[in-house]
Amino acid sequence: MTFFVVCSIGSLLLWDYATLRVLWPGMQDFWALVQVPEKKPDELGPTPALYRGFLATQKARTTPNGETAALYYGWIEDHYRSGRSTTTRVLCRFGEDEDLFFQQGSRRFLFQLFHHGERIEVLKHTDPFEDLHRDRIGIDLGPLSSKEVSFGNLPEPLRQRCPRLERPRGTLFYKEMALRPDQEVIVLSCGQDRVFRSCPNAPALGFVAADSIDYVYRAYGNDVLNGLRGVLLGMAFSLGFLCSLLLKYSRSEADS
Amino acid sequence: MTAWWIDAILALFGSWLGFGFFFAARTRTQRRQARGGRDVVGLLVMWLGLLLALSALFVLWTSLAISFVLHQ
Repeated sequence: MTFFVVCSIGSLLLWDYATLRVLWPGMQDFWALVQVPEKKPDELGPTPALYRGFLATQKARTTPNGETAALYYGWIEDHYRSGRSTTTRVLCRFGEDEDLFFQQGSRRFLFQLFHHGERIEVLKHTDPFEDLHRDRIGIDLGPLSSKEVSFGNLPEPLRQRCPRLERPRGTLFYKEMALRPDQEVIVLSCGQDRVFRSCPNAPALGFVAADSIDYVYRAYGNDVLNGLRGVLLGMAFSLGFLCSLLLKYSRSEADS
Repeated sequence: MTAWWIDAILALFGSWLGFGFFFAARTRTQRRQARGGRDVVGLLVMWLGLLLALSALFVLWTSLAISFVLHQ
């Protein structure tokens, strides 16, 4: 009984912490984020702004799937049975995202949003709770492509990028996200000497979104909400248990 | 929208549980008061149940507020 009382009081304190210390600043940052204005690259400055354009490279890049891309990320997953559930582990990861330019019309700018030690988060579109924390650079290239590959008959581009691939325990899948050079991007960035850079003191460090920013904003919103959802569930179980115990205990006491 | 339907299910579950406890405890408290007794535990459960229900509705409200901000 004491254990559950302590758990319940703990969950109440957690709820207060979640709402006052996490939710409120998170909502303020989120509100500031959706108010960020859109600007032209000529106006690139120290304050965060949204820019529409294209990402380009000096040399064309080809993904292991054979597509031309400005930047891409790929990885090989091993899906295997572990007890009653399926476990996934990443065996090999690679990508090309260096030496980029932001291009709008005939104007080109150096693009170094995530090239100075910033941590990036590639959004995979596989989870309705997928979140993006403000201290990471979000990269949303749309839904990822996935195909099953065989370990013994691995395609040559994958073999080159993952020469020492571990033998899988289950089924291998190759997953890839790529940005075509003709695909428009929306970028949240700051500028320094006409170079696109991250925004350390802004509501978000920055992001690159292909075609639309809706999913990125949703991921920022989920970052605020996920903690609250977890605390609510914990509270529902612990308070539910405490209330039923209290009602039952006091009823039997009254009956006796 | 920000997975609002998941939050709607969460809110439904939380408020069903919370209001369930609230009304069960209220009925019991009223019965005991009618017999001239006091029911401190009933009041405590009422308060906790209400807190749970309002917290669940708060999550739904926050989720809808975020969705509204995104779609305005």
